[in-house]
Amino acid sequence: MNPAPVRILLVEDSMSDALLLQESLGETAPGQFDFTHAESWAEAVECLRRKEFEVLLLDLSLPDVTGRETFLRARAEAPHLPIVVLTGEANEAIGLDAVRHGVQDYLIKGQAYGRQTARAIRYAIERKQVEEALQHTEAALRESEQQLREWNADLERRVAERTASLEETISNLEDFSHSITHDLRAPLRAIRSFAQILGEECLACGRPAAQDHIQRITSAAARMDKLILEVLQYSRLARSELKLAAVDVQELLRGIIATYPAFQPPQVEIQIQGPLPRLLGNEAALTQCFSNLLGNAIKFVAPGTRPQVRIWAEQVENPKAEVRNPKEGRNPKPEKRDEPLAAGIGQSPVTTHPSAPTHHAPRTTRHAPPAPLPAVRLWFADNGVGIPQEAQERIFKMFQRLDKSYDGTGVGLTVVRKAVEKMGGKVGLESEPGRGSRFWLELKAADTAGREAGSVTG
Amino acid sequence: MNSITILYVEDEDTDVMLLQHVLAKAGISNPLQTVKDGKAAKDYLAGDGPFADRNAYPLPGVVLLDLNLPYWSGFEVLEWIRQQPQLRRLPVLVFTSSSRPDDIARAYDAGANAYLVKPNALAELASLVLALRDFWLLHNRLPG
Repeated sequence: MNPAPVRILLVEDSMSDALLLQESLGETAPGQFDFTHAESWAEAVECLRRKEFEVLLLDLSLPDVTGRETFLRARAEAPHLPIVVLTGEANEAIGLDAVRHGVQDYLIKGQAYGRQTARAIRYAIERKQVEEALQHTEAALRESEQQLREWNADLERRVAERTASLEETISNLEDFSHSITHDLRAPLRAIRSFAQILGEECLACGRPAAQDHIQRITSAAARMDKLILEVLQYSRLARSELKLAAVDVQELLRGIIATYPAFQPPQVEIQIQGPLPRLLGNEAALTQCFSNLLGNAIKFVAPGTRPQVRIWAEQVENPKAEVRNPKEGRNPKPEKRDEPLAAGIGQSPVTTHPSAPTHHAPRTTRHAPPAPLPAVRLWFADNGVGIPQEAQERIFKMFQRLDKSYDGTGVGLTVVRKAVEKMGGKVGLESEPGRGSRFWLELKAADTAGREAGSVTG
Repeated sequence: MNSITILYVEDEDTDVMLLQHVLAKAGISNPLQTVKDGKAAKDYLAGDGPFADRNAYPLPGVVLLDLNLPYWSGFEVLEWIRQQPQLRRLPVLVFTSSSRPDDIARAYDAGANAYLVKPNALAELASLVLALRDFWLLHNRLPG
């Protein structure tokens, strides 16, 4: 396994030095080196252009260039060629300087050239190869980094573009909703109002059938108006971000009941079996949910029945355990639904109002570790007509109406479900025809220890 | 009850007819002038062109202003009114089917005195007109 001889360009103006080197290396390592000799830098350049070398042995005092300039030129002329400079004993310093400037090694002239020299030359070649490989790797790395930066910039640009396009879509949707309210409702207003005026004018005409027809126009237009408003409400809800905060649902329910005469005695009886804990939700969305649930509860009763609604809260023991999702359509367990939460969720008796928290309650101390917020189900039980098992999933879908003899749009429960899901909760029901319905919605409690921890969210 | 003229800026004929109907039912006999676009509203208030005769087209004591109008929008009319030295105190009640929060904010920013969403039921319109009568024609004092 004789390796091919190493092609050396020896640049040396002293003929005797050149011969000495060639001869001693020829003796030490016969057949291992193939010398080309140049006596000046100009000649060396000629040789470099004619032939491919593996290493350059370079004397630093040439007739046409000397000293540091010599190896700087050599480096510039053949940047990939390993260089070993030859220096006199007196100026080893320039050899070190050369190495610092990327030359692979230096040899002191006049010392015996032998095995060490041969090895030095071979090492110089090796070292240069390693250096080149390293530089190559570094360059590749830099290139990759640059590529990565470009991709990253490109990605950011595309994200920005998509975001802008999405924002435009949302804005278009909002304009669309806006024009729906305006453009669809204006003709309805005309139909509805003029039908009513016509009905009033027709009172004297003595034709009950005509009056009935006009009444049908009026109520159909009113229903369609309501439908447009509710679909619009649903679409606004579906694409809005609901900000969650502690909501005093008991006060909220009281307020809703107080606002609508239809929710008040003697027509109906709505009973809050409180106290109800504060829940983490969005007040506007919850107002909508409660109004829709209460509206349904008092609407869907058998003729002649006085609507009765009971509302209570129940802590969900283990939020991870089986929580019936309306989508699963499974037979619900009765649980302990007839026991209202005696004292909010916490264990202490609740007599304080949220705005007057009991400061000595141990759970409200600032250093207490944050306990996980329990989930709470709010139940709405009615004495209505009830809903058969097989229809219980369907009623949450848009435009689903089980009984057309009751006035409605089929959007109310769809809004409830969307709103509750947006607040991170769930909705469901238990019902049997003829035995009323018990709708529930489940949300996180706002406080870890029920109502007395009113300071948690302020 | 004062006898000011009411200017109603509205491009929908049916809405004009409905208001006339409800005003009549409520026994409100104040003159009701109507114009059908924003530019005409500006001309009316400025007394320009066909509206030069103030006997036929008296300056209103209160303006009911729709927002969605041809030529000039209600906002432009409102902004123009507030720039006129002799009109800047004129009460302008926005009367629109838009309940968009942006529109409400913009109307008040431009100097609206009230923002009323057109009711879609006749009974609600009647009740709104009664409220307007009590407030603007009975209790409220208008600038001279």
